[in-house]
Amino acid sequence: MEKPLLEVKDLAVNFKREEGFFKAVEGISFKIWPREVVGLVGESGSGKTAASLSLLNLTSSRGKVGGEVFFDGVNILTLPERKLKKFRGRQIGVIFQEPMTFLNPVLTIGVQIMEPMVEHWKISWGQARERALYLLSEMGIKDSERRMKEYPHQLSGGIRQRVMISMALACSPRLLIADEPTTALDVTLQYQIIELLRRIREKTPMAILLVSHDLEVVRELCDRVMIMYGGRIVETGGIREIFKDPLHPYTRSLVEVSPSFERVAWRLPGEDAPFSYQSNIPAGCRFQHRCSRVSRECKGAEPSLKEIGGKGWIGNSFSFHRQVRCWKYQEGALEKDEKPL
Amino acid sequence: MILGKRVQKNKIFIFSLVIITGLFLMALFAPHLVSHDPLKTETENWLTPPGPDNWFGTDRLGRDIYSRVVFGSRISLSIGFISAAIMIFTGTLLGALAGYYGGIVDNLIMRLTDIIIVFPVLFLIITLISLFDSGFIHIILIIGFTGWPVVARLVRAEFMSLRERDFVQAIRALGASDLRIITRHILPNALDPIVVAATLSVPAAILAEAGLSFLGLGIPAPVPTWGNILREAHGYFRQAWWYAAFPGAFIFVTVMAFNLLGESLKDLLDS
Repeated sequence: MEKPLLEVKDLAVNFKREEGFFKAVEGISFKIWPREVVGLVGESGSGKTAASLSLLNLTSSRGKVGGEVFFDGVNILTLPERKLKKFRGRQIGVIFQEPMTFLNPVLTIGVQIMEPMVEHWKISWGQARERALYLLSEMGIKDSERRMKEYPHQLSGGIRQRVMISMALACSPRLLIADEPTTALDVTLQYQIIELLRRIREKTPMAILLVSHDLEVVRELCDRVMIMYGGRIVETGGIREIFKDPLHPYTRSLVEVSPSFERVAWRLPGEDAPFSYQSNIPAGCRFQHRCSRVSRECKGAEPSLKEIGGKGWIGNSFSFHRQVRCWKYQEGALEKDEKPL
Repeated sequence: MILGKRVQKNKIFIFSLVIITGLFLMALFAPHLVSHDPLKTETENWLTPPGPDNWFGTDRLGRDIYSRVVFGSRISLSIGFISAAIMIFTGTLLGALAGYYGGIVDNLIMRLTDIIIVFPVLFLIITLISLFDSGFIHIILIIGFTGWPVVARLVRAEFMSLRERDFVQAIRALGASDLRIITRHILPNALDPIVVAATLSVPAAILAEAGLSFLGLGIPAPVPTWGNILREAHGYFRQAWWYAAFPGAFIFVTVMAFNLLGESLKDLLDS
């Protein structure tokens, strides 16, 4: 069996603030196999962006990343910055949410697409130009010769996001981290970018970690999904299982209000990010304040992430377990309600 | 295009640019503009008031003040420009390192700037000159290396804010080296304030040179510089107003023109 491309063990991200440590991510573990598309879903403040950026140790200087991240067997968090740079952009590409602010306003987009290739592959600007033109036309940008000479402010939002994707794909990375790639775009553009990502997914052997608050986008693209709440993974599973039979009360509320996921906050009582600092984290389950089925045991100890059911399969080579972190889940409940997928 | 239009509308910018260009041409073509040898003494003609032969009058040794002022512009302007270049280069380099890396690098560089800034600049320069004795190169180096802390603080502040910007995070995520991030991505975004600082450093350096020469610590006589002539004029203010007035006016106009240029450039780049 193939080895996982990415293996994350007990990842933790703490931000140092004056008030104390802000625990953005606590003890999350997962694997991504080659060619797999995995969704990481959660609301604002759930720690999903911190978790995805910490894989490359890209959190700001005040963020401390703990745990282990194995990429192709190498623990990249222990590497010195100099060696880590060889992974960034070359092995792992990143797409960010807001293409306007994530592009340099004073450089032409051509230069910005060519630069990673010149840096990592040590090729000439002429060769990089060839590939940049190819990438832009792959992204569905017509007139790429002219676009190369334009600055970010001259481009529309959709083209900017395509440019950003071209930059991330320039060095043919083996893993793409897409942090809310469609959130800043309007609905029609969202659809086009999803289509584009789908095409990229089919054409390349690259694995994708799609970070989103939008379960519908995740449903369009992913094989498997991990749901985060309050810095923890609360449920994982195949995309169809999750939609068909959500186990965690939080996932259930997400699925019920999907496609308009923004309304969750309306439905759920309590604040958006109910706890931020170590001292505020409640004993017991983190979802207890907003859960409709909360009981005494939920306030006692925090439930662990339990593996349940049999193995699920992606294609026919990668297996995974479904996991849920909830006291209310009872062994056998899945089997009882289970319908054939 | 848009900037071009705003440049045309900004009269102060054009006015100061014309004056500075004029001063430049004057320094460049000095030998063709003068009527007398600036070093030639004619003691029988000492302290003659301005007239058709000596436009700005003559000094205590009968030298033509007009010719001396014109030649003096060469020294004053070149000291101004070269010292300003040293200030900008050193200040930008150290400010960029401090602002980009932060932490201990920032601490070391900022304490160094603090040490330089706590001394009154003129006293610091005077001390250094008494250590290294005065000469063209020494004056330039000393003015340059005492002037960079202001630029370093400015550039540091720019870099501290720019390094947190999203696009810097994005290229870092694509594996760009620190050198590339600093030189190709952050520096071009910080260029506006640096250009303004450069323009304002020139008059500061010119004034520093004039002050030093006036105190007798600048370029040694008989080479004419504006500050030098002022020093010689000291003591003759009542008998011969022209002796100090003309070099003084040139210092005034030059410094004002550069300051106005800097200010209007700031307005142009900000809007």
